[in-house]
Amino acid sequence: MISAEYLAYRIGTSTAVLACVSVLTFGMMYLTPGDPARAVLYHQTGQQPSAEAVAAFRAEHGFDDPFPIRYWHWITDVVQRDLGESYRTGRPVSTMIVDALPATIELAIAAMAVALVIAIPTGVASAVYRGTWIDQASQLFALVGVSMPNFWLGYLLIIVFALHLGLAPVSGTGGLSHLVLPAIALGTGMAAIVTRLVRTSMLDVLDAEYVDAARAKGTAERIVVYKHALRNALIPVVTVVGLQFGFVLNGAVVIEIVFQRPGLGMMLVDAIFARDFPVVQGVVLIVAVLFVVTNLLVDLSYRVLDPRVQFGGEHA
Amino acid sequence: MVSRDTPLLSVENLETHFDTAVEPVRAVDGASFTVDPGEVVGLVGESGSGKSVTARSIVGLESPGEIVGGSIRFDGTDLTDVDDRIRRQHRGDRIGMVFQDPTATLNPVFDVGEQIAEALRIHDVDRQRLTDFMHVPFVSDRQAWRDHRERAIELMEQVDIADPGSRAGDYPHEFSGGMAQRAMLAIALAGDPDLLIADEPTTALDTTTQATILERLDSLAATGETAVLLVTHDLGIVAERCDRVVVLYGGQVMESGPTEQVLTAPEHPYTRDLLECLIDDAEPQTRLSTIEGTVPDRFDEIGCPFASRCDYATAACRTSDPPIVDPGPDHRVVCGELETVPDAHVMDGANRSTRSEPTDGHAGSDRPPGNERERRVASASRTGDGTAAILAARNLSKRFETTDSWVDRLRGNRRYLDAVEDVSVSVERGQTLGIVGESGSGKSTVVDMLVGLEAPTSGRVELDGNPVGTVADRSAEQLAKVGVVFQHTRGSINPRATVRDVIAEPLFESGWDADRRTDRVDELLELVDLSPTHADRRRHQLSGGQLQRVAIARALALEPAVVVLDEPVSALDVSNRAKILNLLLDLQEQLGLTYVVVSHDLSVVGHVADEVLVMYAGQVMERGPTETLFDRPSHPYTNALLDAIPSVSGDTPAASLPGSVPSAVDPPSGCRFHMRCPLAEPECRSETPSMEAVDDARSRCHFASEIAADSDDDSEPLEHISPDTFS
Repeated sequence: MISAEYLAYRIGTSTAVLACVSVLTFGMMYLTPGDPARAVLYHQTGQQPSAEAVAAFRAEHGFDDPFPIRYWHWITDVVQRDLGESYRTGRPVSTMIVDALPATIELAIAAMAVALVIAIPTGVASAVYRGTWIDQASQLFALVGVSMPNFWLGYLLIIVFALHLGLAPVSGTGGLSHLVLPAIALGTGMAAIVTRLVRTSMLDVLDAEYVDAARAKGTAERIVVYKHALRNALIPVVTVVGLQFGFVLNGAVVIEIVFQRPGLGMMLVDAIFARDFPVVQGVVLIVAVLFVVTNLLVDLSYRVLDPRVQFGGEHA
Repeated sequence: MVSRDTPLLSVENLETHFDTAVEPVRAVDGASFTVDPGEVVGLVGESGSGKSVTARSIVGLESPGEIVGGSIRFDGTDLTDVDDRIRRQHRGDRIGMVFQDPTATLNPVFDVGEQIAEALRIHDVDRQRLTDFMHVPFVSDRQAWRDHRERAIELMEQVDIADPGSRAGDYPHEFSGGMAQRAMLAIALAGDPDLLIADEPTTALDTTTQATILERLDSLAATGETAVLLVTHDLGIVAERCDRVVVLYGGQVMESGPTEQVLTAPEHPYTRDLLECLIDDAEPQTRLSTIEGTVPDRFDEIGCPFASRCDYATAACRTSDPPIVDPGPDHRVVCGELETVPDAHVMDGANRSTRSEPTDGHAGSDRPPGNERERRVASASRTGDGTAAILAARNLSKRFETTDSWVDRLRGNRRYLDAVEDVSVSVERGQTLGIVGESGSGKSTVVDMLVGLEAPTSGRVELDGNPVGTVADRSAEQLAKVGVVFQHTRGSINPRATVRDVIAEPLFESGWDADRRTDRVDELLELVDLSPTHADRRRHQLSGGQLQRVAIARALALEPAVVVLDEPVSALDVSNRAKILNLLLDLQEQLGLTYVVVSHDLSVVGHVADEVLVMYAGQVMERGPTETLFDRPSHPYTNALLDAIPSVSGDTPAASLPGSVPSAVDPPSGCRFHMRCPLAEPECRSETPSMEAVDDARSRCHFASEIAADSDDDSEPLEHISPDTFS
């Protein structure tokens, strides 16, 4: 079983990773060209701000302090769940994230679902019917899927299904119908990668002696494939799917722009253009937290998937 | 029901081919044989003779091969002529199968109980629904699931798995090899089959465990309900367990008939060669006979497949198919030159060394077949307490900590595993020390400490009389002095490296330049009888015997004085085993090497070693000169190991040793062996015996001298070892 000790160890290392991420995100903003004070004031007033106004803004937000001090102020607030306020709107960043996060998570999960629903059966069929047209077709899909940029696929889907066929709304949020096209646009690339992985993993497992042993019992081929082989083949797949979740969040940023879906992605892009640093830092940090937590969950899920994995003990 | 008059299984002219880019490999090429109801038939041959593919073809697991000809009649149905569904229904239901490596044949992600229950479920349902097999909540039949689980536990009990109720929930990696093979047997028996096919069921197991599994198969056949097709390369097993034997080579049957007849009066040259490879009656430390050449990848389409390796082959053997001869009732031999083959000799060992010609090259072919041992033993100090010892261990102990969490550690709840306790050994220059014991006896840990891969918890290792630490502390000179051949040869060789790179690695590490490396590798290849063409091959292009030679060459690269060999032949078939043992003996003579040979098989150790150390549960049970241990064992465990060796010339089958090595975390009180000892008295449970001298051996048993005296005047329990061999 997963010991409390192992959990403590993993949470410790995860925290260390997040600490590094926080320094990097904060530092990157520091190095970005363009003075946030000017950008924000320009945005608010619509004209070039006066030198006094800029100086006042910089003083108010502590821009003139040295980096370690600024970082210290920011991080001590962050651990108290205060991500600061947006320079532009003055709204707390945490509130903004809480508002935008569900839409992005919804998109990411839908995309993952699309990817897995396509990839697992395709990958399995590809391995089972190795060398046949089914295998070739699925390999072709994997190649095309992985080569296609998701924003391009997004526009393609909008043109075909929303504009020409009128089967789905072009953009915005709402019910399930608003989710279908973005999820497909985002999920296809991942589906392609996972298909290839499931295929390779299944081919390995289908060669294993225990698969023949299962057949020797008189087990129907369907059960051999979906119970005995797939369960083992999914072990490496889970790692990659977990890692891919980070890339899906990444892709969600682009897809949210393409489909004009409000979410973390749109929030981030707007904030970057406006030099709205607290928002950018907050979003990046939250994405990093999601990424680290997903990976932790993936590692812990090994214990469930693979009884041979032991955590924390010296002897397996 | 099965009719008693006709064969249960009749394989006729079976041809199973594997497609390759060049031309198909004819793995099974016209094999024919039958199995009667309730009969035990042995299917024997070297690795690559087609026996496994034949067995797998019967159950329809020949893929990626393809059955291209012949028929497999099982109880009236031709299995090559029915659709996949019917074939599948025969699997498990009518024909059960047990495979070679039990740890690889159980699915790692399901508990053992589930895997047995599944086999039961298959036979209870007409249609196999995925949901029932995946245990989907609310959809699957929970009651049926519980029933099958209960019956699975009953089956586990039937195959002698202790505490089946709790072990059913264990996963395969928590099972020992022997236990896992029992679980496989339970699966195979779940459908109450008429035929059980066992494909090398004990090759991966200890000798003592082997006997237990074979006894189980025997008792199964004894009920008359189940026939057994036993696929093996070991004729000793066939001699003891089979009613009839079928000898396969090149995918064709060379000889078949009643075991007694085939093994005592073998007709076919191949059968004779196989028999002569056995260590059985061979003079210790002499060359064993081998079969010339190796099994080729492809055989010619016409002619006898064995012609290329046969001593009696004529031009006719190569150009036309050999005739079938019937030398006796139910005895068939496929050979055209039986007249020229000298009369079948009785396998009494008399003719043995006369026809043993070195087949693999130059090394030591002029070695006299005489009594090597006597000479060497005479020159050596028998006590081995080590003034002249080149490698010695003084009171070695190794304790591993198994405390799982640091919370427990802080609380002081520490748990330990004493893998090795107070072991002292020494080996003198030019001598061979054998270490023998079952899995879990601690022999590999002793080896790890000797070669410096593990640091002893207490005690020390001495090389040339100087204390040495682990590999990190040893000087280059000390490192070069000890060569190691690791247990799983295939795993110890980098799959991407060429043979040349593998052998040159130790040279590279000690800074030899490229030219000298090339020369040395060429020299080493010659030394181990590999041709220069092997230098550019990689792991997957080599046979088991060739890989072992590469591993030996690597161990010899830096001209070591001592070579430590961990199970050097346990993965090899009889003919390769004989060749590697011959090679080792030749190299020892040629280079004056000192060996430490570790094996679970006492017959191997007995053949090569001057002194033997018998280990059990981390302790030495007995140690002494090899003859003494074989002739007058003074410990019941040594007795049990001797009794477990299958033998062609024995009258009584190998005896099993019930139970298994106890856990080192919680060792038994008193004598470690008392729980499995047939002679245990109450005092054995409470008092730990110390090492007592019995003649020139030392034994850790309260009754050591009685046992030794007993085995001296009453040779009954040791009869199959043929005491005269050692006299």
